[in-house]
Amino acid sequence: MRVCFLTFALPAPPAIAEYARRLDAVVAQAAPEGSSFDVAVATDWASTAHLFEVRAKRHAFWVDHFAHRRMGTWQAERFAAQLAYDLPVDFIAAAPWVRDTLADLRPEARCELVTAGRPQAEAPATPPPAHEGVRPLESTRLKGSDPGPAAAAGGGAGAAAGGGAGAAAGGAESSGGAPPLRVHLAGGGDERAALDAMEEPAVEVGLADAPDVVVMLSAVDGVLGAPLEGFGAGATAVVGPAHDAQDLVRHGENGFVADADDVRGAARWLDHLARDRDLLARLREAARATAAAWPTWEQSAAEMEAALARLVAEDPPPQAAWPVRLMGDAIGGAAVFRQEIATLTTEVHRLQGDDAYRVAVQVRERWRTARLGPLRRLLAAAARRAKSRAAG
Amino acid sequence: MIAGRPLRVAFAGDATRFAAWVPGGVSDAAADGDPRRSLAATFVDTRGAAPAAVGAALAAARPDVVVALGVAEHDGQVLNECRAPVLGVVVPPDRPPAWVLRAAAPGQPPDAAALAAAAAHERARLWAPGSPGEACDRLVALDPIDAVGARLWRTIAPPVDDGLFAPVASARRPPRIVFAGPSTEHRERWLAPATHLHDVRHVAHGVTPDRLKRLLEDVDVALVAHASGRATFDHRVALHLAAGHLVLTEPLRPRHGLEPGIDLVEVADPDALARLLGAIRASPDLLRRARVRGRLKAERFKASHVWGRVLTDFLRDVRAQRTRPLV
Repeated sequence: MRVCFLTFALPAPPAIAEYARRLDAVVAQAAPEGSSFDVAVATDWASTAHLFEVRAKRHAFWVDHFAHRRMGTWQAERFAAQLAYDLPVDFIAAAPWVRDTLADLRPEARCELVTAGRPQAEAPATPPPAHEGVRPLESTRLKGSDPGPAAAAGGGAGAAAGGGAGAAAGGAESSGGAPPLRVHLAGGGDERAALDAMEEPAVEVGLADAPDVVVMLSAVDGVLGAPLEGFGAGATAVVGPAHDAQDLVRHGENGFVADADDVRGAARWLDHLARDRDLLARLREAARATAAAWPTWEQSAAEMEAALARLVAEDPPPQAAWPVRLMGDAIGGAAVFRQEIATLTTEVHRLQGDDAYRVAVQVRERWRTARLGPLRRLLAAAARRAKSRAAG
Repeated sequence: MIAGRPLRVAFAGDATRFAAWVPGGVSDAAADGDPRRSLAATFVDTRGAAPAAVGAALAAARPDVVVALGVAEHDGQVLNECRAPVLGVVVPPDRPPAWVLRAAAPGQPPDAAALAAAAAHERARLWAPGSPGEACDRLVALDPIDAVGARLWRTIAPPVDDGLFAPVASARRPPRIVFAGPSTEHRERWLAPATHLHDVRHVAHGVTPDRLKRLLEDVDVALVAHASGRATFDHRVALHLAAGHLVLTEPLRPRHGLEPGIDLVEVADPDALARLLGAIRASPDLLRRARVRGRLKAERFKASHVWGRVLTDFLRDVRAQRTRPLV
């Protein structure tokens, strides 16, 4: 079977590179000239622009996330990205949650589920107990302490306990006398806030350094990234209520699902794990079992081959041949985007009418007059001197 | 579940505002099975009730846990005398206090400054010695800002009675547009162009539980505005999404995982709201995709799910770390 994967940029995403290697498929950014295929597969919303230029019996769209959900409402690309899912194509869903969402959005279209293979973790299959084998890491620090000096001094978690909020909280041991919880943060916003809000001592580690728990609090997606990789390395996870959380985390069995916008709640789950090491061990074991049951890339590639063969062998349903929803969604998207622009315009007008803005503009105009030139040069020179002193 | 039986929970609060927060509070029949299978919920309506009557009703329910909805309106003594742990739910007042209304010009809603002062006063009153807030074992809120200065335990997702969930229906022509909420200066300003240009039904007074379901069935598009200029999360957003409505709201903060432009539409500008309503009236299913996505997202707000998780965690936490002795 001749397969062409279209990507927006090269190198292709890791999942597509795996499939291409195992299926001996072509990966291209644009339609290969003079070639024809059994199936052409767009792998992101931007590459659908060239999908129908590829000579192929079937045109499909591989979906592992919904790009428009990761964009701000003010981003014009968001408008175009969501229309990509209205095209008359067959879908290949990379996870059950994607399949379910597509079933809601495009009930008339064919959709094959091909679960993407498990990301390979670099950690050993059986991680060391949390209190053993802890090596000093540049990324290791107790929550609330400065990241560099303590860890870089060679003491790792133990040395870092000499300062910072974590040490004050319990001398680098939890209230039960256990060592600090080893936490990997798969994001820097709410995830860090949750770590800082913990009452029990915790230490931040890299994903390859045997974390006890991976924290990922996005409400959109991402749970099938670092948390799944962490599961493979024997870590449990505290995740947000992202769409893909349902495919991986069973609350209280192999991890915890925190509520959206509940940083304190996430911190409480982490504290709970730090205090109850039996629970932590149970969750880690269940997480490892979940990862072990996840398809390997070899299995996933075999599924992909079978799914593509089915798409080629059978004609698509006639009702899926036309972009029935495309224009309706385009008009709806334009209406929403127009009001976003109106909101931004109103805000700009409000700022321009604000006294603080007017005063600031007046000050800037006076500052630029020739009369204040000597003062400007004097201050600029002083600023340069201060900058060079700070640098060296 | 406790020892093989459902957890007995007594929810106490003003029924016109909080019945929709409780499993089975509005509708006895759940959309997908019995919502009370893990919780045995009793609702104690505090509206117009004497504290002693509320206390007696709570005692009669023999609850494992008491949830004080809108805790500021409760009687501290009654909560203190509960023989079960008490979880207080902090919400901003839905209508301005009487003293603010009296201070407003005749026929005019209170201005934003008066509302802000009232909110600060209410928050300070909540934590005072002997207050209802102090009588609770833990306090939760939909928006942590509502509990500034307090020992807030968690932010919780907005719970919606399982029986109020409905599938997304085709929009009527013309679509029925509703705004539910007491009038304030801010709301009037946000709604003004829309109400002048379009047929918007304004339900200004509280809806009793027996009328709520019928009202929800008669809506296609729901407008949600903040009481004042401060962005927050209004429980009505979750309620309307659960009922399968298209929700047009002022920008929310926090959002409880809802995605603007996908699950609902955030509209800051009053003129933009009027224009958007014009487009929707011309093509009622214009934003059907947002209705479908919003309804699906609302699944996580099912009251049985929200309270089941929160109360299990609450009881575990209270037992491990009690902050007040039970009477």
